[in-house]
Amino acid sequence: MKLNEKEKVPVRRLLSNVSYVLRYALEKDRGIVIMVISLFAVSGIGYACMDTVFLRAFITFLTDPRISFGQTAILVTGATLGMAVLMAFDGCTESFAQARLVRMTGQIQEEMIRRASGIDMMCYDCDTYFEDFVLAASQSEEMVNTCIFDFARMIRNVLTVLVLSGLITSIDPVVAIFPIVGFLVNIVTRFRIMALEYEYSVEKTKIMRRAQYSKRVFYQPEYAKELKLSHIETALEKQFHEAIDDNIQNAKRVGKGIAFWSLANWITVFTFLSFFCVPLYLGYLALIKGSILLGDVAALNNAQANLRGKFDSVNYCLERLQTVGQYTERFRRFMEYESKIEGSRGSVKIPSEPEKLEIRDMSFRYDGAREDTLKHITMTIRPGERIALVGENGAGKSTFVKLLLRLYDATGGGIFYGGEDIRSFATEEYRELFGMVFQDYQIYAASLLDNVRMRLSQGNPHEAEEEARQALEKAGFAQRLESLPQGLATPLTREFDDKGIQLSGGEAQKVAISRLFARRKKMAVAILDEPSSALDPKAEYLLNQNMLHKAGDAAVIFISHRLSTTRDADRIYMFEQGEIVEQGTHQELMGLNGKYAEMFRCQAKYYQENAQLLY
Amino acid sequence: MESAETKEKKAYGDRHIFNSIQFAIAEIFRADKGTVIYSFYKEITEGIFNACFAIYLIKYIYECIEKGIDYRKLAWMVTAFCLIHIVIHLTSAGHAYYVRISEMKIYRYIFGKVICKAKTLGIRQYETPEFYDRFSRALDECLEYGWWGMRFFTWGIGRLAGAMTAMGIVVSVDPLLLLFAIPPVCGSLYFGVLQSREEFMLRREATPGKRQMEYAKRVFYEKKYAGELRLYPMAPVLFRQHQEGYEQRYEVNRLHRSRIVRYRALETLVFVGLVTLGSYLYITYCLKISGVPAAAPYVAMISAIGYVSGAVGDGITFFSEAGKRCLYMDNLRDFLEYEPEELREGRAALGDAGEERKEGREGWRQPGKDMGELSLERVTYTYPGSDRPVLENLSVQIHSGEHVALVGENGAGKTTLMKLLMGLYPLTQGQILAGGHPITEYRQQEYRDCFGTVFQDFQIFALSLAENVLMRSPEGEQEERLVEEALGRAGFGDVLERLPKGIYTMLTKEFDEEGFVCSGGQAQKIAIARVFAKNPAIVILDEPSSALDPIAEYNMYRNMMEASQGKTVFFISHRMSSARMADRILFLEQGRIVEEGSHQELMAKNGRYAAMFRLQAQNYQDTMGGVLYETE
Repeated sequence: MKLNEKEKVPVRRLLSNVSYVLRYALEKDRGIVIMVISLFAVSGIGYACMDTVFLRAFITFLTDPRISFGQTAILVTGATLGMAVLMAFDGCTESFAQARLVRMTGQIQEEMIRRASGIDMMCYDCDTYFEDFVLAASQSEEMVNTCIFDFARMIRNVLTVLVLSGLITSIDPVVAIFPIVGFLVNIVTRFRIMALEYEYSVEKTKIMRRAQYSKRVFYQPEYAKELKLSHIETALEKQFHEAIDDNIQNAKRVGKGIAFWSLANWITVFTFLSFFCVPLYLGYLALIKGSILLGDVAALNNAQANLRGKFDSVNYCLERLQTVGQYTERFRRFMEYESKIEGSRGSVKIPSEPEKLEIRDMSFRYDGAREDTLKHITMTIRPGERIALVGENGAGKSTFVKLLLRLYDATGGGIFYGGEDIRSFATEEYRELFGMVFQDYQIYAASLLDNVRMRLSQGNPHEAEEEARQALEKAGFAQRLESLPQGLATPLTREFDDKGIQLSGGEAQKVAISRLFARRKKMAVAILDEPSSALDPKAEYLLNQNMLHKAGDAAVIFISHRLSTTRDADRIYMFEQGEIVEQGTHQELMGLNGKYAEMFRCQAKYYQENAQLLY
Repeated sequence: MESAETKEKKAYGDRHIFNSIQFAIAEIFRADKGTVIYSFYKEITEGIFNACFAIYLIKYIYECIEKGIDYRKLAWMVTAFCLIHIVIHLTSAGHAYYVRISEMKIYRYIFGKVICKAKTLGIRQYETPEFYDRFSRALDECLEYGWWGMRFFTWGIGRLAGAMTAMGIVVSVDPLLLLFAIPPVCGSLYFGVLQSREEFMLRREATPGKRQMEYAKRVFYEKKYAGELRLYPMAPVLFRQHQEGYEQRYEVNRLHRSRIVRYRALETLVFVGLVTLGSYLYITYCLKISGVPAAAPYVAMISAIGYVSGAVGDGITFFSEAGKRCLYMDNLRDFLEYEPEELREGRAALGDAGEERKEGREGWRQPGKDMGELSLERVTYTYPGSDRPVLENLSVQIHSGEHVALVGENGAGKTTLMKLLMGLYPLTQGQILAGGHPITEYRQQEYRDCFGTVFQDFQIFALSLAENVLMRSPEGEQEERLVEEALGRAGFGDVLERLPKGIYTMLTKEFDEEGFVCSGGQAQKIAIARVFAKNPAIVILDEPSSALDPIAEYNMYRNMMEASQGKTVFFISHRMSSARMADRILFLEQGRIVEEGSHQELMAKNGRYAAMFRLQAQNYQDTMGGVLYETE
């Protein structure tokens, strides 16, 4: 995961982010949050007292001949048993809480992916937005855990610091100077170290991406064939070694700085202030000034060491809470995003019978693109019509279809269904008019049934199965279905189940096509984006027959390279660089003898049984 | 898949873990001796010194104060300790610097071993899901885990050294005190094992739930799913999956964590609480009743007892962490020791498969310039785990320079046949002869160098365009020109002209924001250019035109055929139109050749091929004939 673009978030916003996560967590499971915070606080104070107040009392009791064995025994028993109970609680809190947090973070993540399912398609084109999501999603669990535990630790540290400072002040306030100076030095040096480490890791991530890529290629099955049959490994190895060398240089450069600041930190904070100054000062008080006793020395020495430890811990907590703040920044940005297309309720009810779909002078430009992907498209699609979109790769056919589905909104002109601008319909209802096989259709790690119906199967299971079975049959999958012992319940892909079925390209395409026939509502428009590219001729023929003859009064839009598929269309639109350059029936276009005719002849030539071949 | 399952079960044996740690450290030692030695040295000296510092020095200070000894003596002692402390810091900083660099060297060393091994494995291993599960995913992490495994192990050793030192000091004061240090150690040993076993089971049982959650999450952030998810109400199915995932994890967590909580509580109350109480009472007894004169050494020993049990507890935690991480190194070991079944049985697709390429080895046949006649004799191939052969008893002879088309439905065995020909799989039965000799007599690299192939699922590498075409780094101007020429012939010339960095443009945005992302059609052209650049004796085109539009397809075929004059060419296409360019067409059905001959012959025969051809052709024919001929 790329963590390198840590953005600067103002301190106030960081605090507000931390409290946002805490509130979120409190809302989900109040009990566990309060439990963690209070147990951490109580046990923290307990520990601090044990090493200082109790130790001092113990030494005093021991060295004072007037106090009996019995009295000392009572003090000792009370304190140690109390301590043991606290420790037992403390040791268990985290473990116990972690179980509860699994569910809480699960719920938070679920809210997040629910949001994701309702963001606009164009968000996926926008790098920053996309990264927000990927990062927030991958870190949400850690974010909540760290936030709760480190907030609790923070409270514990602050309370302990207060108790210890009180104790030190009551004996000799000067001792407090050493940990406080140590704390300040620590902040400065650790800041330098962190900055260097950060610099290193950013650079390393960048460099090592090259190495990791090379490594990955070597054992991923999809590359195996080409590795075996070529010498590409030499180029990959070279890339790998260069990356390693580069990072060694990086390590050398940054490592020196880190070594210097680490030494500065360790020597001042630990060696000098804590281990050198404090014993000498306490020794001076006890031996030369004679103002304190052994019990005080022990208590003060432990108190200052403890204080140093707590300050250190405060530093760590702050660092981690800062990261939480940064994650949260992304999380909030993601959750607070308002979608424009998705979830739109609309103001007009969608007509119940298939209507005319009109595209009027429509243009579209992707965010940040320099020119329009679609330019002034005008087209009318009537119910029951067969429309073909042809043209070279990148001519804008697929984008056009995405606009029809309102995955994007047009940047100029518009689309009208039954005379109404499609933006005035509820997005979800509007999309229900369409059935589509995407060019990059996907197979999901779910049962075959779910993959065909593409919705939760509730109610009568037989009905759902029957429906899926028929859909698969229409798509030419019947034979394969019979060969599956688990039938429609067969899990697809090996994502979760080692017995899952990995479909071949052609089979997967058939499943994707079957989705068209298993829709909940009657389709008004069916769209097939290169539906037959992975199909053999027989399957292609079957698909064409089904689409042409069983689509009923739904309009059918084909996008295909194979012009044989498109020639029966009522109208053919030839796209070139985002524009419609030719339109008409097959006969008309052939008569026009333009681009379409040229393309068609290219393909048809091979099929003329008696034609002379060029070669 | 039970193998992985049982393996995991087996994995939780102490001996096994010990083996893994040993393997991990030995590998790192082989990669860089200094790292291992330096790490052990640093952790042990630090452990010993810290124990002296925390216990001996404190005891000394307490004694000075209680007895009222000269302040200067105290000052000297503290100074001496602090000077040693600085030396320890220097070692530590030096170590951090050293391992930051050596980590990279170790990474390089282990990666080198992995690719060496990967090269010897057959394609079939990559295609078995078991292999993928065990290695591909696991290898990604094992290096880092192994590294941290070693670090944890040295930390553990350091802590133990500290504990030993502390025990020595305790014994010097009062050997009986040591008795109080032993129960907590036993407690943390016993419960530590129980607890890590519980944690291990927790992790294992929670994995399915975690995978389910991860999957659902991924589907929502990958763009390729976005369109479909917006058109079909599939999202609730995935939400349900996600929910089941975390509920399952929650249940597993609750079960195991409540056990862990019980162990912890018992350990703290009995083994720590009661024993600490005992130690305090004993000290009180010594001073109040048995009349020990000085309190200072005893008071200092209270923290020493805590130090011992703390250090041992840490040590155990570190060892178990080390074990957990080193277990991942098993994946590496398994990979390095992996021996494919067919090699164990002495079957190989090609001559030296499975052996690391040794230079100068004698006795292999040299493939001729054009390879000569290819002949398949009663070839049968069954995929492992399948009960039905993909190809059955197939015999065919291909003359040098012949252009052969393979036609048939999906799953008829066309691609498998090509893979066998290239020696990617060892045959189940029968043999393949090239130039009159069994292909097992050729050295695998030399044999495969004779083939130029465009696969259905060709890959684009995140390397420069030139490297993607040449499939190695170009050397010299001549090779650069070769790349340009190949791209031109593949119909990529106009795109190339628009690229500012020309053939040195990086492909994909994997590393380079400016990297060129090609469309499906452009990628295919690059894949085709590879064949032009390689200029092999035998060309295999496995559906190379599926992503190309008709004009591009036409041009590609024309170029391909021109370039392949005199070469043996095989092509597989669903567009029957291209099949007719072939000298001979092989029509496959269920692993057998059912029809064979030229287009004319097969059309005349009016069998399966003719039926399939007409099915596709009908849309292009009838009315079109006239128009077509006008322009010819």
